[in-house]
Amino acid sequence: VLIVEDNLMNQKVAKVVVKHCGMTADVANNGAEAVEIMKGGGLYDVILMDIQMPVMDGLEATQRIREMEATGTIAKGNYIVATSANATAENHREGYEAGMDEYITKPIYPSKLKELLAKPKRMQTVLEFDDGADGDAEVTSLIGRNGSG
Amino acid sequence: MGKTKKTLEELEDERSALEQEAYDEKTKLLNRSQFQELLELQNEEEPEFVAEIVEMYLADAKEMLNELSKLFSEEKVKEAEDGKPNYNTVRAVLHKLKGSSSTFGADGVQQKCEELREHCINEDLDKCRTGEGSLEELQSNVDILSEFLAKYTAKIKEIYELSQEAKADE
Repeated sequence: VLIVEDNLMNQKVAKVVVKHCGMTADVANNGAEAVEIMKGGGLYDVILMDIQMPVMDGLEATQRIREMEATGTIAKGNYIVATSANATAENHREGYEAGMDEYITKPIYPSKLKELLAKPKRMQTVLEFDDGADGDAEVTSLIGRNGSG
Repeated sequence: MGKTKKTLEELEDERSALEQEAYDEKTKLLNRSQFQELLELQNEEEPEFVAEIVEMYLADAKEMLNELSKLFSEEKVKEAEDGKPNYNTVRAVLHKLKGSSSTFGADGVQQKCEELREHCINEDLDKCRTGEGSLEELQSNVDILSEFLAKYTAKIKEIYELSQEAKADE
């Protein structure tokens, strides 16, 4: 599990929860560190991504990771779960648009983490690309996400 | 030596009593389900978990309260171009404190953060500083919680030590 979180207490709680699920955890203190870890070939069953962090936030980090997946820089199909104290419908929408697979309220407890891990291996998230006039591929929508939610 | 040691049962009862105190609607110190979940994370592999989390939470809270205090200080307000405290920064700090408190299950503190946030939205500096929903009140709530947590972690340490002793005696 990759825990992306700037607050030490939340990091500790997340680490222990992961331990309780019988897994190991790596920690990134912000979105930029997470992106570096993924670039370096990080392979995780799930990435727990906090939203509000300094340097680079969770939304941007997720977008970067999805971009790297799309260009084949890293393996596809990373399971990114937003963990945030905020949970308005707007926040959810922003999260999903950035490429999150799930959006849950912090902190995540063992039962919830186990539930997430038990989900069948996700189908590839299908990204619809829009080749704008200037030729740059843009992610315009996220479709075909795992139907089991 | 003639030392009257409490039994594990007695200690557990005391611990239960402390918890009841915290979960009481009137004191609103801690959120039962949230705090229970945290307690359940402590085990043989992480015997000090609760104490560690408590320490981290209180250190965070202290730092944030200090920051808030500075932001509302006469000095800072006078410095400001518009003669107002930086309400945006205050709200950002409050948001962090609220987040930590919610992880921890500190309902009362969370609520006070909300109240103070309201005063910020209304840009009511007086209310921000003293009275209901003020920084002063928030500080006092954190102090009360801090005191409680010190008692509580001491109690679970006592229980842990006694149970380890009992194991050694077996």
